[in-house]
Amino acid sequence: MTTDRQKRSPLQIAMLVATLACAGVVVFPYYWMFVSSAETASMFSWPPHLLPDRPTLTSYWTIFKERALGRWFVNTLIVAGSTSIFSTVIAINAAYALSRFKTRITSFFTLIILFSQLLPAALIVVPLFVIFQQLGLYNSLAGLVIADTAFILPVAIWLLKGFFDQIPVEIEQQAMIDGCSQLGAFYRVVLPLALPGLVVVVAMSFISGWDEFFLARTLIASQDKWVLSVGLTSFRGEYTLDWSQMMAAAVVFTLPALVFFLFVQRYLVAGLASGAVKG
Amino acid sequence: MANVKVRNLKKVFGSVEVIPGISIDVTDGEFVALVGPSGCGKSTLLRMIAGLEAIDAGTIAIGERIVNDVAPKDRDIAMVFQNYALYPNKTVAANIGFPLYMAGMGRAERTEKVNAVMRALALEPLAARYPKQLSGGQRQRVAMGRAIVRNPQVFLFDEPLSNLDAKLRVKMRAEIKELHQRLKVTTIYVTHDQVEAMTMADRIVVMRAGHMEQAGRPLDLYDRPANRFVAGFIGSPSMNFVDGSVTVTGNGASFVSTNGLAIPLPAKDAERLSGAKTLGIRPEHIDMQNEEAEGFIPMSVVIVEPTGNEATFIVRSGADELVVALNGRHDHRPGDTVWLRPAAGKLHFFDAKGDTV
Repeated sequence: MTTDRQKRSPLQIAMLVATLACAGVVVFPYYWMFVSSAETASMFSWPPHLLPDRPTLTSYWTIFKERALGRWFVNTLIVAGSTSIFSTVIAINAAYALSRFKTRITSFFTLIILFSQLLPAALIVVPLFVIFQQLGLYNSLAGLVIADTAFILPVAIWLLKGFFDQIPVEIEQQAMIDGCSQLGAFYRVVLPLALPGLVVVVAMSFISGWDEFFLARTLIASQDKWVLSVGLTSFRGEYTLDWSQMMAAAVVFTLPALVFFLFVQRYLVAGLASGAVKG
Repeated sequence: MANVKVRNLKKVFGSVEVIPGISIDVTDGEFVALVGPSGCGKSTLLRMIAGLEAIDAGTIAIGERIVNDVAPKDRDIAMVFQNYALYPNKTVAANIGFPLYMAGMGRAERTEKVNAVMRALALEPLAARYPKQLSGGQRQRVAMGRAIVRNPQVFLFDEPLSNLDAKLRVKMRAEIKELHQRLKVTTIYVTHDQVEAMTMADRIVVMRAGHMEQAGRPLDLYDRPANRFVAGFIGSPSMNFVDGSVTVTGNGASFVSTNGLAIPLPAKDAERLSGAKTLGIRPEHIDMQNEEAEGFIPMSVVIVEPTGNEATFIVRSGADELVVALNGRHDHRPGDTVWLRPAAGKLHFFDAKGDTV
């Protein structure tokens, strides 16, 4: 370590400082969110309290006691979890089919999937609302899961297809000669090789289901079926705004996603950096 | 072990007939090389035998069993791919053991067999390594180990040496041949490299555009090619071809090229060869000397390619050009005039369609 430190040039030190500064800019809002949630005094007091003045967790107690935050948390978990599971399972099969069975129809389909991604949610949400109402999916968590899954699927399919494309088809054929059926070769050999890609898709679809607001606001009516992202906005009353409670809710909202990210980070970096299979 | 019978096999990709109908017999324990230029359908044929490619018509039998509708895993074959197709997430030992694991073999027996194969291929020190930590030759050996561990009826090789450097290729060539001599398993080996085919195979099948051009023992193909294509494909450097026709003169006959080069022929052959439109002569079947002599043709040296134990010369006369390969060392230089004569009885003649006369 010491020798390393001695070798550092002024440029490297400058880079280190710059990196820390950037990290500070990114991390500070989260820190401020936490500090504000842990004190009842106004977050606009001057000089700002970089450390909580009289640390208290009253806000947390209040939001769980007086608001349905617990209910919303569970709802969000259901929606994000289901979206993650469904979109991953569907994307695995779709991406594999598009990667391995190359015909004119599948190529066309691959493009169509990409085009569907070009439509902004705002454009689709009204027809979606009408359709969901007629199908009896309006105001149900199942309906929201379907909508969220549909929105994340194109990205998930394209991402996984890229991973499958990188895995030489010979490896699969070798597995078929070595004793696997085509499906067996896929699940035993190809899928484990695409693990970094799978983790990316699971994480991405979970996060997108977790913090999705637009569809959740439109397709869910009753308060007991709200998800956290919608619930969060309810802290902004017409005349009042309890920053402390809102920040406490924001912490509750952010924490699981953060923990989840830390958990899969290793795979995520490997997955995004790609080059999963070579030689 | 088993023989392989391919009958009227046909493969169509879209509107292209890759293999219009081919029949090949491989007898038990034989090493057959499928050789031909890229796109000739040799790999497709191999993949059909493996069950990786659907069959449009015809039958494939391994042993007594028609395997058209049998899944690859149930054909009792092993295949080695050009890129080795090792499982990147498995160690060397696990790669080799995978077919046994899939066959439901118990751990103890599996370990024993895997160890025996690794010992035979000198892979034991690498057992715990992953494919990406291996060199090309080592990967090749692991792929071969995975093929032999299950003791299959038939080995299929799809250009297994193409990804190796020249030196290693020669070494692995010998290893595969030795392996075949030891195990005597029926082997079908696809390559575009005729040297590989010549050196390794008991029998060579030369393919072009999905057709079988000729099948036979390596030296038979070399000595008696059925047509101009096979003649040009087998042998290195390639056979020289001279277009022209047989002309009978007062005291003998000669083959006169379209550019005017005259190569003397024995008079008795003139009639038999009257339909010949192309003369073929292998570079190693030409005598070349510095002095003029009876029956020798003068040409001038253009390029000299010495390799130590032999040398290749490109010689020219007018628009006619020949490649000459001579053993040993020679002092011919570019610009020198040399005198050439085809070795007696080593000339090949082809008619207008390219068939041997």
